[in-house]
Amino acid sequence: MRGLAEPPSRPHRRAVSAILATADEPFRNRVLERLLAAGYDDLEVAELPAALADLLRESKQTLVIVGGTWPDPQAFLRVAVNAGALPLVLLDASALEAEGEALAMGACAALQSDIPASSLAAALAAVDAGLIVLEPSARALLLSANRDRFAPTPANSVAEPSTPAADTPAPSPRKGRPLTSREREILSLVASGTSNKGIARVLSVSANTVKFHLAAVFDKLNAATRAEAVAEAIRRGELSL
Amino acid sequence: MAANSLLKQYSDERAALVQNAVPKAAAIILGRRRVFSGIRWRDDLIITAAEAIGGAEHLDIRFDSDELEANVVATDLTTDIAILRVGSSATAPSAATPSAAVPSTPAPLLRVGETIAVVGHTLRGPTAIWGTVQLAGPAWSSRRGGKIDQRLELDVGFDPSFEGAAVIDTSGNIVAMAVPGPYHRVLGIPTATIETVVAKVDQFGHLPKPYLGIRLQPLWLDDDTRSKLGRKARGIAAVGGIDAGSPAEQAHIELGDLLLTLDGQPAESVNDMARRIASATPGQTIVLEVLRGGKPLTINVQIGERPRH
Repeated sequence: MRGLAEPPSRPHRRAVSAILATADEPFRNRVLERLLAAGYDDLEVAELPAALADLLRESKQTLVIVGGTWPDPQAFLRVAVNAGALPLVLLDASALEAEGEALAMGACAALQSDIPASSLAAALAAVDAGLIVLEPSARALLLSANRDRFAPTPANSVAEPSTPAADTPAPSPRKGRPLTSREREILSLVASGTSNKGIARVLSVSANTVKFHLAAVFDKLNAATRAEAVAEAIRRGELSL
Repeated sequence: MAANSLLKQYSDERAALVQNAVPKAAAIILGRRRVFSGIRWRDDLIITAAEAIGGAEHLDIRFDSDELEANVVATDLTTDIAILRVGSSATAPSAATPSAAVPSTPAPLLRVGETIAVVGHTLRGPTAIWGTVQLAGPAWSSRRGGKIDQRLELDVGFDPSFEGAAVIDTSGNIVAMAVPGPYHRVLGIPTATIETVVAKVDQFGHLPKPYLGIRLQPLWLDDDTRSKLGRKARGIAAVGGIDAGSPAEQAHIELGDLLLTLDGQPAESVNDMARRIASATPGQTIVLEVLRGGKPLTINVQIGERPRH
């Protein structure tokens, strides 16, 4: 009856099923609870990477949810990627590096493990449709990648055959870039001997915002201390003397 | 036995000198982890290293068994001196505070090879290390433009907890503050330099930073132009920006002016200009010779104070 009542053009909602790959029971229960709340009841569980490999070989399910603390989620992620599945990684802490690492390893989504059930369902559907899903906080990851790509600095626009020393960190994409007017304003106050809180008061922003701007300033000017930052900004004609 | 008693005497005397200086040492606590040293300069004032405190405004201080809060009154990045005030929350002390502690006779200069001790403080108690004055040079100007009364490099087993600690001589006088320098050197910032900064803070209630209001860019001169201008330096500083309402604007310095000399001495580079302006005093008038439209021009500018609003 229902089938007749629905217009035939409307695609039948595909039963998006998934494999939950982890042996971490508290984590598994949390995620299962949310998936069930979101209407997913066709779920498989793989407790070991080898079991996941077997499941992926015999089933058509391609969505794999990876997370928890044991076994190492990276092992599951590798298996899923190698099998051509679509892995979603649920992270316990909001660490940009972890999100970046998961994406670099081939994850289709990197999300918080406490994501609401409705968002998790949306993420599964999106990944199933071939999209990449990220937390809003991961925007910075994309932007930094974009900066590299679309606004190359002289340092990374030249294809250098040089072999960088193993202990030299990769040059920051911010190095050598001009300061923004806000950054100049803040650095000028630093030069006048104002504390971070003092600067925050003057500009009516939070001390954390000041620190955030200063971190960018230090990065751009390749400075480790306030004195170095001030001296370098003067040398570059960014700060008046 | 005589040797033993001499050794004991030597050790006792060293310990006594340090003991004497211990009441002047304070531990300074920044955040949860960083602890470094400070010198209890006067009842209410503590001196420490400006680099160590970063952008902090309040710090916890510990000495004896007291733990107090101190406010950062002034930081001088050019000399690496920071002044903290203990107790009252007033960030702006009354300008009437007498600078009674300034000694009438200048401290004698340290000599190379002299024995010194660095007396600091950690959370576990006072600390001391003995060492030698490795280098005692004339007055110098730091890379940031700070006028420092004597170049002192110390040979001591330094660690970061001694940053900002008191350096005492064998008479037990505080002669300097120990700070880390480039190339793992340990520098002494002489007492006279600290007195100068403290006196300024006593006078103004804060540390006025000299300010002209010009942004400079280096230009590179070819050999012909250089010989025409009679300049040795390859570079010359060009005015690339003038702050509105600044002393430079009031003195009619113009965009594109090339700085030839400052007070009769050649202005070698942007760095050189920055150093010399930083070592000037607000209120002081300097004479700039600039090249404008190919013609030299002399401009008097009264150095102002960098805005703090």
